[in-house]
Amino acid sequence: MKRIINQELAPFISVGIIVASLFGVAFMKMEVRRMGYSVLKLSREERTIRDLERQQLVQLAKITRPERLQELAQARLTLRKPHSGQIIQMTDHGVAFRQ
Amino acid sequence: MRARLVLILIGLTVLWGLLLTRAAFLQLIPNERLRALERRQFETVVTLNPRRGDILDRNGNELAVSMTTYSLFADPKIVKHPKKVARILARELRKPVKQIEEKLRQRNKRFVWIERQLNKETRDAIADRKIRGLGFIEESKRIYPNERLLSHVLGFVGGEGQGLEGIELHYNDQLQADSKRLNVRRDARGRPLIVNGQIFNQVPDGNEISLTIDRELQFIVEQELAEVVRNYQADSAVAVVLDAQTSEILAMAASPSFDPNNPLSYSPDRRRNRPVTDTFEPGSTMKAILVAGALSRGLIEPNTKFDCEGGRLKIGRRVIRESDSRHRFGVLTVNEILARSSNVCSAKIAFKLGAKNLLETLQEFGFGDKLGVDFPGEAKGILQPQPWDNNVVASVAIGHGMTATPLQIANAYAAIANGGWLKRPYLVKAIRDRETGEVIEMEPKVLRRVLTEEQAAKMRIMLTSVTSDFGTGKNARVPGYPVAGKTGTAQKVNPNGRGYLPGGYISSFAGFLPANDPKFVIYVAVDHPRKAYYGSAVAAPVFSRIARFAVRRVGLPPVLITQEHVLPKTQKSEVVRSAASARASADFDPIHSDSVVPDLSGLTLREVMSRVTGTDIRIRVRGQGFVSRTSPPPGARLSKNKVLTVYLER
Repeated sequence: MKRIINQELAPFISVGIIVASLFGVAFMKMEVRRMGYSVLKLSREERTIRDLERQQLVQLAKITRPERLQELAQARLTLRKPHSGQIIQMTDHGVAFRQ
Repeated sequence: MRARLVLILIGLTVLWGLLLTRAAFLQLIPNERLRALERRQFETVVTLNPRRGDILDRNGNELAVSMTTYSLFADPKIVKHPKKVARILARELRKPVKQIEEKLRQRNKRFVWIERQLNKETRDAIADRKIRGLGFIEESKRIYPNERLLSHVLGFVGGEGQGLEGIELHYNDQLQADSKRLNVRRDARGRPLIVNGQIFNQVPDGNEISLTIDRELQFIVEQELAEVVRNYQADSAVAVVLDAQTSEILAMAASPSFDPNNPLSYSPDRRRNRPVTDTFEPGSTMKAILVAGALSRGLIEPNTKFDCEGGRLKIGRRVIRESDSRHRFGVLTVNEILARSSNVCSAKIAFKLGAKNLLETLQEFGFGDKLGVDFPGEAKGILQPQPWDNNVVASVAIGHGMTATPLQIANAYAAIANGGWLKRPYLVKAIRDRETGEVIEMEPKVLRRVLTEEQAAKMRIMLTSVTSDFGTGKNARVPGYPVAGKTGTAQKVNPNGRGYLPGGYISSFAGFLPANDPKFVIYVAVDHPRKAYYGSAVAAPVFSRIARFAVRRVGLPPVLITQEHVLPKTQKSEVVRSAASARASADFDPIHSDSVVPDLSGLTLREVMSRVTGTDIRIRVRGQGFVSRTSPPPGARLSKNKVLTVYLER
């Protein structure tokens, strides 16, 4: 009786396995494609972030340029360029030079 | 009936068979035409534009960088309402509507540039409008963040990103990279189908170039030049700072300068890197080379005496005089000849050396030929072909009748400074391949030996006397450091005719310091100063100011120390006394909010701040001076608000 049932179900099981495999393959392919789009999107985002980082690097270089710092020091902090003799160079051994 | 059914079956079978055969033929047998059709339908080409390599200074500061920009184009045939679109674009681009509308109305064209090199914000603002017929192309833009700083050395690039002048031109092959084209499959909407997204980010960058230039020193040099040009109403000024031992170019400047971000607004004359491309009669700075030549041939010693004829020497119909008519020198030693810059005695040394040896000496020191510096447009300078009569010999002895570049003069002095080796000056310290990370370091290159160690030492001592009390170069002194050098005051050649320009001089000073163990060679020349003209008055003070900054910049310990420079011992507070030891033992690892508070006693506020930079710890400051205690105390953990209070005491 059991053998008869097995014999009757076997073709259906085989067909079922084949169909499931086909669905599996199709699903995997769709998944690969979906992930491909995700990777593409992320790689574009990464590039945008890199460009942004670069933009900020340039901005940092611009705002820390010596000329600008000097202008800010003179205009905002009212500092002046030292005259001759106003700079005192110190050494480790208690020696000081006016420059 | 059955026969008909059989016939239909056979017919269908044959048809199916034909279809299957055709399908098998298409699928299994290679066919170039079909493959090309497939490629056209399912593949797309993605072009990755290269980014030009950066140029950095010796400390890694950016001098020239490239960044992505977006250029806006239009297909006028597709743009539906040119006037409306022009109005929208004009608002975003801040340009006249009419100008944009004219471009959009060119219906006979399929491609017109609307605006190039836009930033991302503007691009996004326009792209969000989704206007049909507009598109963007990514382009690389060259930016010089320091604007005018080092502009003559860096040069600039053209509209297509190719180097046109300076380092940008000389190292164009290194800085530029080829664009990369990738064939990738695409879907029905034209989107690339990719397995590895990284390929889109592997932009083929150009190599990164590190210069020998020190940005801070360069800034000071440029400032000093601008100031001397302004103060003396001069036409221009140049300066070169070399590493005395290697001939690395630490600073090289000319004033007036230009902004390489907008180079075409300036005349080509202003964009020239004069220290390399311009030659002029150097004047008395060449007397040091003359003396070095005579010394190296054993013809003179520092104490050899010459009669300076009371400041007047007749050569044929020409009379050689001292630069100052009040100078009526008698007998002077070679040492004094240099210190007082006697023209008459220099001519006599030249006669003793002879025309042939004088020419050879100049050639040995690198004059009359290119040094081979890594910069385009290097000038050779002019040395007249021999034979030379006594007039020419006397002229060349005092730095006239020949021309040289500022770089040649500085490099010749570097040979005296470094013990007698003439080295090739260079601007590029290292080249880094951005893709592989491989770094090629440039090494100093010896051209030849021009003096023995002993002769170079004698020259250094003699040149130090120039900045002594009786020398012409007193204004070039730097407190704490012996300075060796030579002033120069050359008549300026008349650019509009023969002879010299009346009242036109080039004031210069070439020297190095510390004279006993030179670290810096500095050459300064000021073209046609109108308020004074002696090198000692115009160029020597500039030399001194640049040199003072240079020694402070590298923390060079002073050599000339007297009792007045020694600080009196004072009673220091406990806090101050412990500061040195605390600093010496300070572990400069950053403090983290989750770690315990370390002992910060004795540190300055700056040192404390440097340890919390980049963390989320907030610092509260009480008092001034050095850290005496903290709250929370050392060993305790920070509270939830992550505030560290530091109490300072003097």
